[in-house]
Amino acid sequence: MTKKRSFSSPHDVPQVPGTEGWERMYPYYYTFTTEDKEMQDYENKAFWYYDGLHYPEPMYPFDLLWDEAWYMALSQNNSRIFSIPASMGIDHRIINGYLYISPVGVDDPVVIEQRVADFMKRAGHYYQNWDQLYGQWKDKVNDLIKTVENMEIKDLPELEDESVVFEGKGMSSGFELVRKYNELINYGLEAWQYHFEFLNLGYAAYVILADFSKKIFPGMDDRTLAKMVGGVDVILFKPDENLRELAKLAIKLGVQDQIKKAEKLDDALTALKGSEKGQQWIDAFEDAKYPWFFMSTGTGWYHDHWTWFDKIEIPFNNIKNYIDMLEKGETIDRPVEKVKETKKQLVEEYTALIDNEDDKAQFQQLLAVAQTCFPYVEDHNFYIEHWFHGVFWNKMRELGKIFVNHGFFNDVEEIWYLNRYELEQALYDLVTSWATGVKPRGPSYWRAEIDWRKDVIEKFRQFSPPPAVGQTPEVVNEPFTIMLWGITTESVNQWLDASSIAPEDITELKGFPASSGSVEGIARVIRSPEQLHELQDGEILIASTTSPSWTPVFNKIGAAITDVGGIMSHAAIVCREYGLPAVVGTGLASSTIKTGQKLRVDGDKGLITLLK
Amino acid sequence: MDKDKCLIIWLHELNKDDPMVAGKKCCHLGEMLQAKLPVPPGFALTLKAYETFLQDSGAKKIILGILEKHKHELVNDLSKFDEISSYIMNEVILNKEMPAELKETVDIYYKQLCDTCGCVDAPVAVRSSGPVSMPGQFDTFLNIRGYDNLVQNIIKVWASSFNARSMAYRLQHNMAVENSPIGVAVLKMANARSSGVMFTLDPINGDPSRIFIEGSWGLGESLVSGQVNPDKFVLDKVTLEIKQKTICDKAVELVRNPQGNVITRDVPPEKREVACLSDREILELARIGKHIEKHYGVAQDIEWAIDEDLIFPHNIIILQTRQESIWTKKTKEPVSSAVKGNPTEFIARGLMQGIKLQ
Repeated sequence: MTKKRSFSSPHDVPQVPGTEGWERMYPYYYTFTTEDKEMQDYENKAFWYYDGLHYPEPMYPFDLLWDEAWYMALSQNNSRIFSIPASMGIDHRIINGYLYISPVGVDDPVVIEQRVADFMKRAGHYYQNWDQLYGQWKDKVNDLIKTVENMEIKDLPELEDESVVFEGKGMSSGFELVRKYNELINYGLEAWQYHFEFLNLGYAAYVILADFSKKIFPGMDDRTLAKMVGGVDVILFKPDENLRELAKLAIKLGVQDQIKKAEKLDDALTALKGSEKGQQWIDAFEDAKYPWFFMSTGTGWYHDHWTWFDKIEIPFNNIKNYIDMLEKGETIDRPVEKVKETKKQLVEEYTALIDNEDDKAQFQQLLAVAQTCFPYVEDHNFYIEHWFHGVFWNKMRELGKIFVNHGFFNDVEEIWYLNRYELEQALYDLVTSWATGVKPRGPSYWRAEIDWRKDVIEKFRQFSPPPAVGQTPEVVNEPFTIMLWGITTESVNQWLDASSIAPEDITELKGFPASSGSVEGIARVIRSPEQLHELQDGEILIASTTSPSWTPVFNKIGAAITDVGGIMSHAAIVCREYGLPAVVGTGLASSTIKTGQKLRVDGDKGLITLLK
Repeated sequence: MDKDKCLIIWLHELNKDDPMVAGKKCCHLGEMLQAKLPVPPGFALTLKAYETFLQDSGAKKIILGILEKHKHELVNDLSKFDEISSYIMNEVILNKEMPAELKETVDIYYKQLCDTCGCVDAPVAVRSSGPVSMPGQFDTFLNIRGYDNLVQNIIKVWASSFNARSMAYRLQHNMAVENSPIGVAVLKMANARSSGVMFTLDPINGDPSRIFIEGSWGLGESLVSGQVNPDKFVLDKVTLEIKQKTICDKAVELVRNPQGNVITRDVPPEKREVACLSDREILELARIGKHIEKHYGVAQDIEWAIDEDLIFPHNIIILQTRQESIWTKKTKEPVSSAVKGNPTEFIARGLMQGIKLQ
């Protein structure tokens, strides 16, 4: 019998000096238990892995909102809505500001059997009516986003408007502001309810298709399968497509020089306004914006993942870059026809290789289900993480301004240092002080606390979160854990091995082979989208994770490596499409590899070799 | 043309329905030539030629006599085989002349083959070709040059139908020990820089979406006899991507010396750990493998060589192909047998079992 290997206990991870008391920044249920023996026992036996895919940085107290949202939403869809047979939800904790998650299973075979029956009835309904339900989903989500877009967050008046009296409203702007805040938070949670309406089922279909396919084709890799399942007209590519079209249009209209010469977008717009052709381009630019410029420059999970609307020079520079490429005679179009052709060829030929008729029929059916689910799997991020979040962050900033006006914060961006419960309290403090005319407690209470929290989060940044804590389970049934986080025997063993080697002694890193090919090149570690322009032609991009708005740089890199992610992570999808090698889910690449280091990347084996 | 009456026939005149004309290997080669595969040109001596030789030379009568006499000994004492086999081969068959008419026809065909190859005394492989598949039972002779040598080696292949292992095999399988007509393929020899085998599935797990190639420097016999740890290449059969390359230290290779004899020699140190196939050769070979499998409709076990005298892609030569013998004959348990028809149920059951982590 092989000895079961374990990570250190979640209770034994040392504190970062000078951060003592950090737990109060987050809701109490996010810390590992100290008061409950039974709970402690559960925590020690569970397998907790660091969710660097979504949280490459320590958690800001407010940004934890999205984590709270999916803590519940993902879990309930497994456990209480669709009755995924052997899995309940995913539990969450924080260690030194970093987020750890743990899949929760169902052990009792009798219960599992009952859950199968419910799953078939419920999931069956969704699988069979997918397109119609997804149509409804888009309407719901569009309505929700519009509602938030139209919310007005206004500072409190010295004296209420007369209409409050003459229309007999009976309530104040202070109360309405508190109510709006709560509504805003609830809309946020609601958006995440929808985020998971289809996702668990989509992942389940893919995971089982992959498992089935590997039984027939033991050597089949997920890259191949993902190409068979993946969509071609993926929404996440649409914003970038708009920029390419704008570049083409500029050349067609002959206004490209005015655009290229301009340092900033505003300069270009001023120059273009003078001519009819220029105006035509401006109109096209304006049309291309909504909602596509809600594309986040990050993943959308953090408040400082600004959208293109916030950082308008980013799409503008991309347009200039595309104009340059076009003038050099390069193609800037996505190889859509080739992607379609490859997909068709793979499906036909792999299906033909299955000689047993029952297996062939089952493969075709499972593939069809996975293909039906995939547009949602690929597109939902744009609606929620990019568009909804983009609108939401700025509504919160409007609220932040009110706090600044009332002396609670020095700067709007300090709002993120309070969690959602604290913010509700602070707001109540603010409106009651407005109501009573007495100075609020907030400024003296929060300013010192915020300074301390800024320091704690800076200290957390210096901490390298271990990839996992707790005990390794024998089986994983939870669809997201397998597919999204790419938790496999290999990744877990790699983490166990790596935790015993000093970073400077590492000569090889293993990850998930996400896109084929092998290449040697110079590493460039990218920690934020602002650094993307540093990338030189042919360099190997190394990042904790990548986001769709990074897509333009994939035109020039030689390969991509990420710390976190599975076969469906963004870097994996784009690299497959562009034919670049990619190794994802390495756990350690961005903390081990240094910019300038020479590497060999093998996208077939998932191996990175650090060359001298 | 009545193929059954021929003594000699061009390989390209044969097709897959002709195993009883000149054995399985010959009809495979014929079929491959017809399918425009890069098989070396050549001709076949038919089963009828074999029988004509044994009958007309009087060898058949003598063999029947010997076997009749020793029948009981053979059944009871397998060690007797070596002695009797050696006697039949050396003392009976190899002493006989090829009938004149047959010999003249061999001369005509060989000359024409030499013309096709553009050389005098073209080196040929003289290969056995049984009507039923008995891999490795009979002998094959390589690099035979000149008409007289050819005739002698054809007789040696015929003689090998009475070698000890094939006689023992026939006895064990209740086949007629005294009668085992085989065909002979006479093929232009490739001047092999590298050679090896290719399976159009993964021989380790039967994965039908893989192509598996093994190869080493020089002639292929070093692979078969296990003298060299070969290079291994695995490809995706659908996309033809190279998935895996294992380059081994290949210490020796089989080559022909100026006299045409096969010798073992050390591989120069700088070549030992170099892949014996370039990437484009690997891809072309795999493409051919895929084509062959498609033609036969079943996974294949293929012998190939890279001819040093020819230019890519013409340097890739297919020496032999046959149905892969392990996985294609296994009855595979359908993966879908547990749950049929309903994908939701299949997904539910799959999620129930989970994915093993340890």
